Formats: sequence, C-alpha cells, structure tokens
Amino acid sequence: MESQSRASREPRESLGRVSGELAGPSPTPRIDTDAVTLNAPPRMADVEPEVAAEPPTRPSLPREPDAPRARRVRRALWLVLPLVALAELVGYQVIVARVPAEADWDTAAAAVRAELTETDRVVSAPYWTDPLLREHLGDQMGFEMAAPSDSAPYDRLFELSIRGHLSDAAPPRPADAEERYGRVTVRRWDLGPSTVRYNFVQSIQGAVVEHMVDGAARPCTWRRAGMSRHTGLAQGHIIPDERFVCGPGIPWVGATVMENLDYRPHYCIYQHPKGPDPMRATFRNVPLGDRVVIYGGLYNRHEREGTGAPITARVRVDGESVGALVHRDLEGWASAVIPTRSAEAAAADPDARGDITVEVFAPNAGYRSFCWTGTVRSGEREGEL
Amino acid sequence: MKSPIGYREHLFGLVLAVVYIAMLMATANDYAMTRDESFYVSAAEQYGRWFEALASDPADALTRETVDQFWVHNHEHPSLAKSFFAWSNLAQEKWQIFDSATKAHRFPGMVSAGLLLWLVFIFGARVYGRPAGVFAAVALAAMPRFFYHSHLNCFDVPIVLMITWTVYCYWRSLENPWWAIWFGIAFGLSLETKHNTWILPGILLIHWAFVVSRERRRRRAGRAPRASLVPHWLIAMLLIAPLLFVALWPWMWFETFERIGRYIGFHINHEHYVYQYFGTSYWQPPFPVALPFVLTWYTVPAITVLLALAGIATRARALLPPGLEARWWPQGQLEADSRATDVLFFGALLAPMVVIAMPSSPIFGGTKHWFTAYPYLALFAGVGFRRLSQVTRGLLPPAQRVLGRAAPVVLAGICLAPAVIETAHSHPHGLTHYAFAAGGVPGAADDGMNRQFWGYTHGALADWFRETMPDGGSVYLCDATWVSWHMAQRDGLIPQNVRAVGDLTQADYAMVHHEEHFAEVDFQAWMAFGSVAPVEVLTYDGVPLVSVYENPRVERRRAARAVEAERGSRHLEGRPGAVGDVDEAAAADVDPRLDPDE
Repeated sequence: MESQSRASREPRESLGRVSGELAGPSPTPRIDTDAVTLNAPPRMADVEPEVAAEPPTRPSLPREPDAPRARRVRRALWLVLPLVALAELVGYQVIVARVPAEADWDTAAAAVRAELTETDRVVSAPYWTDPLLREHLGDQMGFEMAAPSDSAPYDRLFELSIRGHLSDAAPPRPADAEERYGRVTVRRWDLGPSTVRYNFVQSIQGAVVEHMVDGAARPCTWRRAGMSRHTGLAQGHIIPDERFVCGPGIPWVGATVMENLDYRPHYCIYQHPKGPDPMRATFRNVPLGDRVVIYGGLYNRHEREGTGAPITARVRVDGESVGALVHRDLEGWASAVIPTRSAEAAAADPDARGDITVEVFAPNAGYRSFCWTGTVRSGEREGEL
Repeated sequence: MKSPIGYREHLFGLVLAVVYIAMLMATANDYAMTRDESFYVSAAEQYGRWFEALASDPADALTRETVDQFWVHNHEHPSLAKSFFAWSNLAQEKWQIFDSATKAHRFPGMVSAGLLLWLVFIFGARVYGRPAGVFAAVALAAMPRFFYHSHLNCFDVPIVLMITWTVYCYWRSLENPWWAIWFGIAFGLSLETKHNTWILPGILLIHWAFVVSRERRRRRAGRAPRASLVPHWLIAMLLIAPLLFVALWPWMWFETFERIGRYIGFHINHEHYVYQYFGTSYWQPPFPVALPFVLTWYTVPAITVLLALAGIATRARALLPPGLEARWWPQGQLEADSRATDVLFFGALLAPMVVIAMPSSPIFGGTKHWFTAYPYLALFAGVGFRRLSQVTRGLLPPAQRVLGRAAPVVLAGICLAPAVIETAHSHPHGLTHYAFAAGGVPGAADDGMNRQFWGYTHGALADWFRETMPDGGSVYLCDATWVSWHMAQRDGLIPQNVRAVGDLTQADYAMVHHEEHFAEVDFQAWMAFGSVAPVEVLTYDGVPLVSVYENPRVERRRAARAVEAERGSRHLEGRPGAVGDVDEAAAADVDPRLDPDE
C-alpha cells in the first residue's frame, strides 16, 4: 500500500507512441529498478515516455526482498547530491573571496621596498605570481634578479607569497621574519654574506672573446651592432644591441635573457659553439676564489627534442684546464662546480687573481644555442653550490 | 495515444533558445575575437563576395577560376558554418542589423547554441521525460566553457548541434524509416560543418549492432517486431550525405577526390600546438590519456558531472549487451528499450572523449575537442536529477502536495545554482575558467593547467589602452591576430589610432599572453625595453593573463611633451627670457635602436 501511495505521487506522464512506429502493441511500462515495489504491478505513472520495455516474456529471476536498510542507504546516497551542490556553491564563493586584493599586493610590496638593498633578492610564490611581483617591484629588479640561477649573489631573500606557497628559492628552514598583509605573506631569510667574488655575466663587456680556427685565435669585437627585430613565439632570445661580433657566419657572444627547457628565464652569456673549435671568452685578472660555479642550457625549442650534440663549457685558469660543464639535451639548466685551484692554495692566498677562460665547443653546432652563467665563489653557505 | 511531445514542448524549447541567444548577444561585445574567429572572418568575407557574384553573374561564379579564387581561403575546413557567417555579414553590410561587425559574424554561432538547447530539451523529454529534458538543456547552457564558445564564429558549437541533430534523426529512424532521409541530410550537413563528424558512423554502427541483436532476440522469443533490421540510416548516409557534402562546398567541385584527400590528410596530420597540463607543456604526442576526463571534471560544474554519473548508474543495466543483463545483473529489472537509447547516449558521450584520450590525438583546443559529448553528459545529468527528484518526493509526507510539487523545482535550483553562478563568473574569461573541482582559477594555476589560448584576452584591456594611449600609438599583439585587432577597432572597442605592429622592439607597448610556452616573448620584452616591470597586468581571480610592457621612449615622449607644454605656457605668460629658463629634457637618453623615427 505504501508503495502504491508512493507511486501515485510520481508524475503522470503520457505514454509515447511515435507515428510510424514499427511495433504493434503500445509501449508498456519500463520497470525502473529503484522504484520497484514488491508484488504491485508497474503503474502508468511510472512510464518513461517513448523509452519503454515490454515486460520480459520469461519470468525474470526471483528478486531478493528489497531490504529496508538497503533502500535507506540508496536514498541517503542520492540525498548527498544536493549537499554536494550546496558545498560547491559555497566553496566556489570561498575560492573567489580568498583572491588577494590589489591593495594586499600594494602594501606588501611597499613594505619590502622600504627594506630592500642592493644585496637583496625578492621572489614570489607560487611562480605564476611572478608578473604581479614584477608589476609591483620590477623597478627594483634587474635582469639578474628576475632571471637568476640561484641566490648566491644575495645576502637576503624576500618572498611575497599567497595561498600558503613557498618559493623554490627559499632555504629549507623557517623564515627569519614573516608578516602578513591581507592575503599576501612577506617572508625574509637572512642568507649570510654572499660567497660570490666575481660575476662573469656582469663582466662580459670587459672579456676577451675569440673564436679558434685551426688553433689560431681570431678576435671578436665588442660593439653596438643593432638589436634583433625577430620577436615573437619561436624566435628565441633577443640579440642585444651591444655584443661581441665575430665575423660573417660566426655566432655573436653577449648577455641576453634566454628561455630554458623549463620555460624559466636565465640572464646568461650567449656563447653558441661553432663546432669542435672553441668559442672562447677570457676574463682577465679576476679573483680566483676557490671554485667556479657554472650553469648552462639551451633555448627550449633547441633542446626539447633531445637529439642535439652535447656541449662542453671548459674552464681554464691561467690557461690550464680545471674542469668542464658538459651539457646534454634534456638536462635543462645544468650546473657544475669547478675548483679553480687546490684547497691549500685557496687558503694560502684567498685574494689571488688570474685569468679565467670559458671555452664552448660541440662536435656538431646545429641548434646549439648555449647560454651560460657563472660566478667565482669562496666560502660556504648552506644549501648552495 | 498521443505523442507526449507536442507544440507546447517545442514552444518551450524555442523560448529556451531565444533566451539563451539573447544572453549571448548581450555579452558578445565583451570578448575580442579569437585567432580562429579572425581566420573565419576573412574566409566568410571572401565567401560573401562569391555569393554576391553568384547572384549577379552565376555563369562566371560557377567557373573553376572564380570558385577557386574565393573558396581557397581556409579550405581546410568545410563551408557550412562559414557560409552562415558570410550571409550574416552580408545582412549586416546591407541592413546594419547588429551593433557591431563582430556580432554579425558571431550571430549564426549563437543561433546554433540556442537551437542546440531546444534540441537537447526535446531529445531529453522524449527519452527520459520533460523534467530531465529541461534540466539537461539548462545544465548544458550553464557549462562555463560551453557558454563562452557559444558566442563565437567558430565551428565548435555548430558541430555539437549538427552531430546531436544527426543522432536524433538516426534514433527516430530506428522506428520510422522516413526519418532516415532526415538522417542522411543531417549527416551530410554535419560533415559540412566540421570533421568531428567522422567518428559518428563508428558510434552508430556499434549501437546498431545492439539494436539488431536485441531485435533478433525479441523476434526469436516470438515478440512483435519493434525495430527494422534494414539499416535505412546507413543507406541514407551512403547515398545522401556524400552528395550533400560535395554539393555544398564549392571548393570540392573540382579535383574532388584529390581535395577531399588533402582535407582529410590536413586533419590527420595536424600540427600539435602546445598545451599545458599539470605543469607540462605538451608539444608532441604521446599526450595524457586521462586529459579529457580530468579536464571535464576540472571545467564542468561538479554537481553536473556527479548527476550525470548517477544518471548513468541508474541506467547501467540497460547498457549491457542484449541477453547478458539477466546473467550479469540478475537482480535488476531495468531493460533497454527497443532502440537501446541508453547505449546510444552512452556511446555518444564516451566516443569523443575516448578519441581525444588516444595518445596521438590533438589536445591543443582543450575541452572544445570533445564538446560533442556534452549534450549527453547533460542528458544523463537530467536522468540523475529526475531520479533525485523521485527519491526526494518519496520521502515527503503524502499529504504535502504543495511540497511534493515544489521539491523538484527547489532541487533544480540547488543543483543548477553552482553552474549558473560559475558561468556568470567566468565571463569574459571563459577559456581561463576552471570549476570548483579544480580549486577555481587559482587552483588550476597551482596545478599548472592551461591558462588560455587563442589570444583573445586583449579585449579586456581595451579600456586600459584607450585611457593610456589617448594620442594613439603602437601595440605588439603577441598571440592576437591583426584581423582580431582590426575587428575590435571596427567595433569601437579599441581606438583606431592604436595600431598593431609585428615587431615588439618597435612598439610603444608590448602585450604578452601568459601561456607557459609564450614565456620567451616576456623575456624578449624585458630585453627590448630594458625593464622587467610590466606597466599593467590583466588578471582573472588573481591569476595573470596578460602583461603589458612600455617602451621607454613613451616616457621620454611624455617628458618631452611636458617640457614643451611648460615652455609654451611660460612663453605665453611673457616672462623675460622665458625660453631660456626652462629645463630641457635630457636628450642624451635617446636610444637610436628603439627610436627609428627620431
């Protein structure tokens, strides 16, 4: 009886019969599993218009009694759905409400700007907020800070963070200071004095750049040669106006910002090998420290196929080879730590100077858009090369 | 017995369509044109010229030379949708019906979206009842990405309409062979709309196998026949559709087989554009198999997806192959109807997604690549909603008739509210929108999901350009096309004196669209202008979409003008020695590499 009462509340829908229908008898009620009641035949009100099945011509297998508990569980599961809808309704509003206001970024940036010095680095987290960071503090950030390899040149690290994220650049320890500005959190890590003694990228203009031909050095000339005008997707890095020009068919050498395999920027010295004969950049009378930390990689589209020849960036101190970074495709922004001299020599004469040369060569120069950055370092800092 | 679907239902469907089209029309001018829309504008304008030639000089218009001259444009896609764009544009040129040229091109696409809602309602009402049909139509309309694509003069919504209509005609033909003629016509028009149609025969053949198997079992059991074993639909498909396909596409009138082969080859060997998915920018196969399923979950409101899954679950027994339901699912009594409609819907839902899930299938268009599945997602959601209504009404006291009638309405409101609100919030950044399941736009950004494509977001910067460049200037467009920019100027969205340039280094302002693989353009702007600081960042829910960089010469010009103005005003004041008193702007900063005009 209860089932019949329930069935009577079902919407009364007319049976469908399409004109030209092939079958003779009118469609008979579909029996919907969940609406089945014991014993009572299906009623007209249960019919799905036009989608109907005749009752089976042979008896269906006996059905277990529809236990009340099983029915309750099934109904409860259905009633979860409107709750999910309500949760989605509220949850989406929460997501939108938690977006940081422009004013949060303004005040956080102002707070950082008030403290920032030349030896500080500022980053944001997550990385996709980088355009917002540069919109607010970009005037305080040069190419090196916006397109870094690591934090070694800096004494302090500031981070503007949202949504609980932490920057990749952050040291693996709690911040030394933390403050919230609305939904933007500013953290500061005191990294200690920088270990960097010399920065090759910043000094490229003063270098001696040559390309070797059959063992003989042919000089390249630093001059203003006009900025490239090939811009846009798949055009790679900009050729800077000021650079080393080496002659027809020989790649230029200079500082640019390159998009690496991971689509991150790196401000680096573009030194495209021209084959087995090296392209050489020599930095004269520079501090030797105890090591050179060198990073290098290629333009994303030249590396992503993984089919190019390996590139060697060999480091020489006063003409002697001390080590090399060998870059193979798909390594991305690779690094190497190359001691410039023995630990004893470095300890005995920490201020020694000499000539450091970086030679770049490859067995095959096709699409080998190698760009590198390097520093001379001495001393140690936690978590750094 | 009367058919349950009559003029009242069609009137309701018409109202649904008109209301949706009105909403689309009211919001269309908020979007600048996408890349693909701009290509189809160019094609449609050429086709329009051909239609005019056909009207004035048919003999000449039908020559190969003339046909090729006009129809060579964008011949990698068929003609139907672009022809409608062309006619709409011709009407605009003649009668100025619309308030913008962009809207004129987009109107046929919007109409197709409205018609699709009408069709989904009718289809759903016929199969699962009116409540399910209404819910399905509204649920489809309130999918944010679908709402966005419905505005456009592209093929992605028109093909959903055509394929759904084709399936509907096929379904009707199973009990009424005369509908096979309509099926043949619909299939031909669908082929003429977009190549998504190619997968339809496979879906229908598998479904037909179900129908035939079921019908044979019926007849062996001595029951009256319900469906014909003659594949009228297949005959119509083979006879009518190919003729229609060629007849309606003038480009195919000459070198027919060769050009059809090139058309097929173009799409089979289509270049893969980069698409970011969970932090990886995919530029070549193999592509993630889970992508269409995950992106559906991430972009369609969760309650819609869950209702669809619940709806499929309630119909699951009817999806089993004939004769196996008693063996595999003995407890249930639900059986498929004679046309195995659930199987048809399930196949039409799953097939587009499975095709895109194949590792070699292009993914660069995101969800629009499997939009043809969405009507069936919505229809199953309608089934789920209907069942939910029944369960809820079953819980109410019998005497509460008012409550009993109100319950489905209240439930529909609860279940559709998230979708409607998310859709409203997605405007005008439909391609950047992600649903609650993804954590919204910020959550998707955290996950490294595709941020945008098609370069249309400059429309949201129109006011900024107007305010920032009152005297005009030049803008580097990044991913936007020249035609898209030109259309925005035609419509008054962007001032005429703000011109597009192709060389970033020569522009006053450079836009950079934030897709991961466009990062190199960002860095080019840094080098070209000597600064990493954008002057403007367009965001959506706090996530950057476009950065704009300013050429330093703009500030120098500004400073020089200020000095000129100061000099001029002092001179006018008649102070002795006024000219000499003025501080000159530092001229040494002029950088010849960035100021070719100075």
